[in-house]
Amino acid sequence: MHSIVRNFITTAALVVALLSFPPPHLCAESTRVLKGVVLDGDNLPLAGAGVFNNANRQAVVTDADGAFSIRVSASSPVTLTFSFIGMEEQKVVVAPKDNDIRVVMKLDNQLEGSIIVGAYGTRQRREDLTGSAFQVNSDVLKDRPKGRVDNLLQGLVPGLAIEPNTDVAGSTRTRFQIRVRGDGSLSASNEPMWIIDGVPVYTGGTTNQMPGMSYTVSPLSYLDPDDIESITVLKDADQVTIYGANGSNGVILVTTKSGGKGQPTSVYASVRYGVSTPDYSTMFRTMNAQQYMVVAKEAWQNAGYSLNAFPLQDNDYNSYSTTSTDWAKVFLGTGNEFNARVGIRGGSKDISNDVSMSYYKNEGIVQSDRQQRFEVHSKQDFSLWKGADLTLNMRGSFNINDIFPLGKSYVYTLPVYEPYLLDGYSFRLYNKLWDSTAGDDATGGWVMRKFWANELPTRELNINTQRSVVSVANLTFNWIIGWGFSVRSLFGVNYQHSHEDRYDSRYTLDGLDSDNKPSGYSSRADASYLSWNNSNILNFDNSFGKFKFGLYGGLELHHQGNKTQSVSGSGFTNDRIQEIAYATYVSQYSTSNSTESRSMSYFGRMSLSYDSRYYMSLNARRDGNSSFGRYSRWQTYWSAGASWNIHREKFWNIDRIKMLKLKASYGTAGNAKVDASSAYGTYAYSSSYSYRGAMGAVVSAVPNPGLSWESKHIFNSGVRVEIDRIADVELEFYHNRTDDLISKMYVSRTITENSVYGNFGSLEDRGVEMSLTSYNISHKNFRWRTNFNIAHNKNKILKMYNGASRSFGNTIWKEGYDSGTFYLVRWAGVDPSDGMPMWYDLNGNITKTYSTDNRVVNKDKNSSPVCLGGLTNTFSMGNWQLSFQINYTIGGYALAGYALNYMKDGYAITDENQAVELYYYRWTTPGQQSAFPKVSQTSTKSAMSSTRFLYDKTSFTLSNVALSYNFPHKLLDKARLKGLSISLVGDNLYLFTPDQKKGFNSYKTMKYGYPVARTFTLSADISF
Amino acid sequence: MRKIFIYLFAAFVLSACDFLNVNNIGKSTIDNYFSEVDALPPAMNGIYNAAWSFYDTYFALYCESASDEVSFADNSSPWFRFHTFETTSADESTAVGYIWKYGYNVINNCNEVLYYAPILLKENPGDASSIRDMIGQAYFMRAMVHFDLCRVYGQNYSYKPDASHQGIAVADHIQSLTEKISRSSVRKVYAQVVSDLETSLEYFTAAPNDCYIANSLAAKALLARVYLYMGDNSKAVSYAGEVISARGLTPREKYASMYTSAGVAGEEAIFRLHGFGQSGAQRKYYYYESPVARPSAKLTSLFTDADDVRTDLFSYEKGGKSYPNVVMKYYCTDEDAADEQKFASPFLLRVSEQYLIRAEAACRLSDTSQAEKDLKALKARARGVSADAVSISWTGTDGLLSLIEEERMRELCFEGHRFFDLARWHKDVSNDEVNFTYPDYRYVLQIPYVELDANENIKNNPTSNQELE
Repeated sequence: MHSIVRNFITTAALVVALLSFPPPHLCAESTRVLKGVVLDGDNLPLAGAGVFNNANRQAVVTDADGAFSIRVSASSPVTLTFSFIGMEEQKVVVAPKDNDIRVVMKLDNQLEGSIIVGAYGTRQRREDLTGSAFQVNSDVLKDRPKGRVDNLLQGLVPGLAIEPNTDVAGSTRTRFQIRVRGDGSLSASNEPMWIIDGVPVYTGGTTNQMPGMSYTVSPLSYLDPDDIESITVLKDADQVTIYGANGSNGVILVTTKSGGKGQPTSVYASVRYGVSTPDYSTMFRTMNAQQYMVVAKEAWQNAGYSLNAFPLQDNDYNSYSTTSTDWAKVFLGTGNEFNARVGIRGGSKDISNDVSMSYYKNEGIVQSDRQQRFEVHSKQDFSLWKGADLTLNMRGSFNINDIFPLGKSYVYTLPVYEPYLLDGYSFRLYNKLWDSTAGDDATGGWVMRKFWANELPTRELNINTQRSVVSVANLTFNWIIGWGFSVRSLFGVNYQHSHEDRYDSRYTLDGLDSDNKPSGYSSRADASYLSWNNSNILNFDNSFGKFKFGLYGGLELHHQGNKTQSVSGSGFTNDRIQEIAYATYVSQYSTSNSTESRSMSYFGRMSLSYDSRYYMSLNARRDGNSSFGRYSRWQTYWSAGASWNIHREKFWNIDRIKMLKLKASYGTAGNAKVDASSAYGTYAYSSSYSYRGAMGAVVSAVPNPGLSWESKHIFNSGVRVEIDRIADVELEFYHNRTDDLISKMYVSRTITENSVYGNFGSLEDRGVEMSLTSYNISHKNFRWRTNFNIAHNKNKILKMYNGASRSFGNTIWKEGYDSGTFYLVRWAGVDPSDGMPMWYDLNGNITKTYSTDNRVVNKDKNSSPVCLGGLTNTFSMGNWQLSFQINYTIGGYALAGYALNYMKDGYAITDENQAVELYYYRWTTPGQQSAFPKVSQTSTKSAMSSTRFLYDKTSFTLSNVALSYNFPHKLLDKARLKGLSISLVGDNLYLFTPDQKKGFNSYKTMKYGYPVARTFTLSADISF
Repeated sequence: MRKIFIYLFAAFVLSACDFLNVNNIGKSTIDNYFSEVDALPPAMNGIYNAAWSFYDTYFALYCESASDEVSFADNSSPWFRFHTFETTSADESTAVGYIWKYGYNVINNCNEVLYYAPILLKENPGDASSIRDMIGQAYFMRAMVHFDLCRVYGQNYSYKPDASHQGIAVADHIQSLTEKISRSSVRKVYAQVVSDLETSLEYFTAAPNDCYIANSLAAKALLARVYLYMGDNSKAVSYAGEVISARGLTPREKYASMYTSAGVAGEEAIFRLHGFGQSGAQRKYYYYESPVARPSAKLTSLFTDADDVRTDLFSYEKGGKSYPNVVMKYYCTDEDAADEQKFASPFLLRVSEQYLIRAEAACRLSDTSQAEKDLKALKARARGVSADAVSISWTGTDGLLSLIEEERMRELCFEGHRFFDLARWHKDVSNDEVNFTYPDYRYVLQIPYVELDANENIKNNPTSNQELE
């Protein structure tokens, strides 16, 4: 956008914001006292309900009999607002004559989401829904951690699986991978699309990596979750086809809160403070110093070496026998989290406003790793003329991330090393070891080895900071023209600019040059990501008798572009001046890159219903994307859905069952998240192809102008039953198939030595989801509600290019199998007679030779869980509420990285510490039955990949416990507050796996790269 | 106010027409890459880099492992199976698959240059001289790799009287993904090779002084070799003669250093691949401390002259330790050089071979005096005496040919010649592990299964002697 236009809009918004808050009403009208009574759905008196008079701003509460009296105008009608927690707010217009009014309050269906946000700003009543959409509202999100938006949904949405991208320590801002109903593609991205207030947000590349930055910080951590009104996940063709090529992995719509027109002005604020501690029972256990020395020396001797040659012998630089370091405690500790937010909301007849600011700070359990976020959000809604309004929604945040990417060293560094020199405070960069092949006559000598594993100097002296400015803004125009026609136009922008500063100090190993002299290394990187989006929709809604007809059509334009650049240099005279301009000239290195892609689409939806009983909807979309070759740039998607509200039929006479709905939909969607250059062919220019020291360039990808989209066929069917005040159950069955999978395959080598991207193969996901809400106890004073969801997905590769399987070492893609199927040698245990490892060969016979030829496709062992989901229980008593949530995964296997790397039975044990089981369970004497082989410094191949390291992923997490108290209206009135609630929340309190063993390792200690952070937060929400 | 919004709306819709034509500036799509003349030198460097992978890592080691010039010290090496001739199509991830893969990689890169360079030549007449030379180099490299691939996967030229047996697939243009070319006859392959070399001679503009890139002298030298393999002896003699008159032999005192000193080209070098920055596979294979293979007894017994300079390259002394019976042709022994300056640059074409080509071709034409002169010249250089001081004796053309065979072994050992010589002469293979007689299916490698899977038009070589045609 031009800066002029931007400035104009900003100024206009500010002016309007200032003018829109209505002045207090100072009027001396004649008044009277109005009396009345408030009842609940069972016609019982409702005590403590709030009654508010807009005109004179008086507020009272009902007494124990539900009765109230309030001063109102004697001459003109007045609107009273009745409110109570858990009930729908009601507005009643009272005429001057009325007295002794009776108000009946209804249970608030809003909590169960009876209005669901749909595509392109539409709102759908749950009763009218033909597709699969699941909504989570702000009351559920209220007590969740505020760091990032993506993991808020864990365990809440059936079919949505959220997992960290890796189980290896290395980034404190782990990328999360989100899957809606399984993996739909093998090489294109499987991540759903995120849309915030109608603006698609750039969340990174195909695996959510942010180009240009050395460490990825997800943009979903740049949005304050407190601002969210609801998150809706769209899952089936009826809901996602309208998004065409971007919709195949599901669409997540985030809607933020907004003020209402004609609402009284209110100010709201919230403060949260939390403390987090590492849950050491989830940390991988390695040996302590004493255990380590015993096992290491035994492994050394078992390999045939003499103890005289053992490297870890005491000397003047290192005292191994007296050192015992707990490396986890060096790097992990208590963290804290603070979030404060203040906002003002209100409006007049024509303008509504919502302006808020927030500050968030998190110091994680990994010490010196810090996140800070300043966010400002402003939303204005203007009524332009009758039926037309313009909304300006701007959000900006400034984020500072001080990153310390603690690696696995906190697990594997030898406990006999310590982080400091013998003086106790200088950082240790070297260790002195005995090397029996060193020295002039190769009989042995002392060597100084670089202590790379010591990350303490890195933490204390190096700098790694990312600053990002993010803005998500949109301008929306809505106009209800009349005769059923309306128009909606949205222009949205998502702009992020990140700047990364890294500096390796001269006094750390990274900052030494190739002659081991202090040099210092500095790098600066800049990346800017701009995406803008414009959609224009014409809508027609009308009813003819019992028929309701709706039709809309639109055009959407989208642009996504990134520009990155970085520069680095080394050779600094001191650590104070870190800018590249002061680096030694010879070492300066710089690079830049940019990408751009655009898409254009036409779409439409038609829905027809009869008597709120029979529903039908049709969607269509035609997408063009610049990433694909000229010949296959456009693709069309369509879907059809239908549903039947049986409860509205005349023959239905079970009153208890308030809703019984059957629905089904079928349609297509596409996936455009692939490497954009695949269609054109590329030449790679790099020093890897150099000749005589000069740069070379070679063909790296052959063009495939026929490269086209993947196409996904989505079938969904479901039933929803709502039994009045007992339970709501929704059961869905789906079957998705992706064809024309973009995958690499080999063509004749006479064409290219590399594999080529083409459209081959197909893949399917089928599954069942159920979500259940049961109102176990619904009494006036005590309520207990349970939310439970469970999902089962079965993934299968249907066709591969030429029927060939593709193996990736430990996993394999094979027709007829899950895409995460393991391909491993089968482990046969340890031979009790000599402690050597054993495996099964292809015929099932025991062999002591390890060979990858013996790998077997483990049909039942794949990485997909059997089922997953969450269970939440909410108890409310009076003004107190207690809820706790358990997330669970059952089934599925993981080739645990920690097990693969640190259960090596003594192999190279003088370099890295190993699992504590070795001390207790290693084989030592002939005839001993043992799960762990004889330890040896040299390899017995026992650490090679095999089924030995497959772990069942079944786990249960007590992920959130929240106790909150809402102050009653009586107390609030005294303090002139509209609302005050205090909560005490615990997150990630306990992780349970069936194989867990106190003091030893199990999947519980290998699930995550870092120990789980248990957090306790105290928060207060106030509104004036 | 309504009108403003309607106009804005319309404006958005109308501007959408040209929206999807995104100019991908800065992306290295192939068209984009070759839009300027400056793209050509790195593309040529890429070709030589790809040729390094082809020659140093796989081609030469295959030829040597299969021959009787080596005896293996490390039987667990993957090359041992080539010594025992046990490889099949399934050995995709060894020389069986990689000679094919990396060979066609060089050819494909040459084809890209040959497609775009003429366009650039028309657009940049001022750079005509350097562009033409690069086009010549690309033709040369394409010819050379086709010739070598054909020697590996196709039986020798005279296997059938009109060379109609299967050769390799001739890739003389950039192919589309759906094209599935098939194997041409050896006759056609050689015709393509000769044609490409003659075309390259028309394009070369530079004087052939830089032996690390293809040049006109290299084209002539390769033509001599190709004609020898084809049995066209008079053309072989004529081209070899041209090369020998243009360039002399490296004198005895400088002989060893042209191998063991990095950056020393040697007077007789015609075409070498420069080793700077490349990872040396032959260097590792013959590494004196723990070689995979050593010179065989059959080879070392051929060196009857004590002052034959070539025996200097069969042993090494360092730090008081001596390493006898190793191959030192691929190791830089410069003591003071930095690590990255210690590289070896394999010879692909040198003048000594031209003498041997001329000797053999002349002998087959019954010109024994020319053959004798050339043989004597090489022996004289090896011993450091004048040609008159050398005396050789033989009986009949066969006797002379076997003298030539022995001299070839002495001179060109470990440079990727022996196994193909045996095939060309229809001689039996007899190394320290296996023996078999000509003809046999094992004179050629089988086509890797990845290629057979991807392209049904390519037929495999016979997998047993029963299938031999």
